[in-house]
Amino acid sequence: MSERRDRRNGRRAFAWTWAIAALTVLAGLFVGRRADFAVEGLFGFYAVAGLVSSALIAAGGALIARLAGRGEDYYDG
Amino acid sequence: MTADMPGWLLHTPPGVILAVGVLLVPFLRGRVRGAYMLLLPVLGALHLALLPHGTAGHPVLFGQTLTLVRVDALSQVFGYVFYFAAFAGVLFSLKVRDPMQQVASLVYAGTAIGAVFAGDLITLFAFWELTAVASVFLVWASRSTRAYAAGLRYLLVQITSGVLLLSGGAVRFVQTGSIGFDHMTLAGLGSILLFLAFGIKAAFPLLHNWLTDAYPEATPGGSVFLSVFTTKMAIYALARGFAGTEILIWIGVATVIFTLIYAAVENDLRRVLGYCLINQLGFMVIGIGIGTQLGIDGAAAHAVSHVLYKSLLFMCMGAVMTRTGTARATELGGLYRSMPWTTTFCILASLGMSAPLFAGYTSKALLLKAAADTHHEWVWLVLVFGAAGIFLLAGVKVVWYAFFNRDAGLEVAEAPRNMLLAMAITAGALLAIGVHPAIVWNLLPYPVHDNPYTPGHVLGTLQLLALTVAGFALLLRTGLWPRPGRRILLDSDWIYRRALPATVTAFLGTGGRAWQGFKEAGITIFGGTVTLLARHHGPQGRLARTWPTGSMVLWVAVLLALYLVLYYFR
Repeated sequence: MSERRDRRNGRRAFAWTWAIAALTVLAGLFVGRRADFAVEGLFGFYAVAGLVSSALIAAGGALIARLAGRGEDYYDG
Repeated sequence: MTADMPGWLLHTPPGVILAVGVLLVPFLRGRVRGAYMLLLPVLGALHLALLPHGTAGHPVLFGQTLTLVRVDALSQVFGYVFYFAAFAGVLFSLKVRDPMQQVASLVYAGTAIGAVFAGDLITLFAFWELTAVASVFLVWASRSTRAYAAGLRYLLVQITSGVLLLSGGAVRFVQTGSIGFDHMTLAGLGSILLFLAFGIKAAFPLLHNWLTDAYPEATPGGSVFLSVFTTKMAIYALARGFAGTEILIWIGVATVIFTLIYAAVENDLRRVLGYCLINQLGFMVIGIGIGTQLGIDGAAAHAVSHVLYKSLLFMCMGAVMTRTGTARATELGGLYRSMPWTTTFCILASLGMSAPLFAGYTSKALLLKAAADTHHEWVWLVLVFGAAGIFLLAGVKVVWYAFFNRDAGLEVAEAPRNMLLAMAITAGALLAIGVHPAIVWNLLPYPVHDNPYTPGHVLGTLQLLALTVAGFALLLRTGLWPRPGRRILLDSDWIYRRALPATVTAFLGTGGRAWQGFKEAGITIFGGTVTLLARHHGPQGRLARTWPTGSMVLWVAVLLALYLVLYYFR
């Protein structure tokens, strides 16, 4: 019961998260900003930066876990 | 107002009120003890508020005039936030019944405050070392074997930093004839040693691992104190001594990048916070490296924000530890039901790092502007990606795995009231500074004329944060997010925990073989000598035979004749 409720809440949270994210991107059509660098002036720059940073961190984390991950008792022996 | 202060108080370093006043604590009991401990940071902050700008306290030691007190805008802003953090930390740990921990925490806070007001390298060294010694007791107070070992490693590294500081100060004195603690360049051995001493405590890459090794082993209250003082004291020292040193920019960039990768897969959530703490030090180090007025202001303002949101995050994890006995992501989950207030404060701390209306947003805006004004485009990009990353890891990841995710079936009570109150005060400060940044900006060394709340900047930040969360949600849903597991990650501590001991053992092994050879050679030579002696002096030896008296008389006669001949030739 609790597991089903958790899954349903998870689906809702996922939908809400993406809906809010999409809204912020759409709002960019109506709000201008002064760009310090050319790349900052591109439409959706910050949105892409957020997505890319999540992906890069996940990829880097998976790599470091493979390269540097050891058992919890590694230093105990 | 300062004219009414007794003279000795004007010459007393800020922080000493805490460090000395706390010695009464073991003699007090119950509520009186708690009230007294809360009063000390308040009295200390009042003392600081009454001190005029300038120097005071000039005793002479070994022929050198010290400067115990130097009050200016840079030291003052660090001093105020340290006193605030000490008050919140005491409140958080109010129910702790361990005088050792209580005394250590305030001696640690007091000596760190003393360090940021030190006007010379000898005074700085004294406070620098005292923070090391006092703080290790917060690790040992966990009273576990792991904590004891981690504390020893921590102490060794901290003392090394102090030795480097003392050596650097001595070399600098020989080179310049001054013990003053002022702006330096990386031009001589003395300043390089000082730079390394500061770099260890500022957790530069490869010098950082003492932090992620020891902080997660400290007591819940101890880690709150630890998250505040040592590293920010080092940031102050870098801002005072090495502002505008370009290599700091690249050290900061490296710090921001590598810590995110480690924090992504770390299982112990307090260790995740440790890596994220180092990450944010990278932001400050970049500001100091840029070295402009805005860069220094940004670093100092971010130190204030960081003290607040990082100590709040450690409070939340401390509360979770207190109630569940663990901070491992693999053992937590679903705590939002039983600890709703702690969940709320943890979410506020996450927002406090980067979201509009919170302190972290306003201080990061200064650092971004400093990078943009000096045309450091790549550095600016690292700051943007770093802001997203730190929000993802110290915020979203910690909140998700501790309070949501799957229900781990932990039926626990909400955090004690004193802990919740400490969290509420800290969250309130984060919000107050975010809404009204002038609270901090008016204290900064240089005037700030920036407006962080332009519609474009607010929207850009909201996009960044919203898409970071959305990206995390997508990665989780698709199974691409690296799951925390029951593992550790090898880091630079591998060098002194595995590589060095292995090298020493190998060396001793080689040395042992040489020693064995030496011993065998000795025994052979000794044995040969004994055999030789035995041959001549043994029972059958020529020299051990019983000679007849006649031959003895003959030999005596020969010797006397020889003597007679020699006498005639004299």
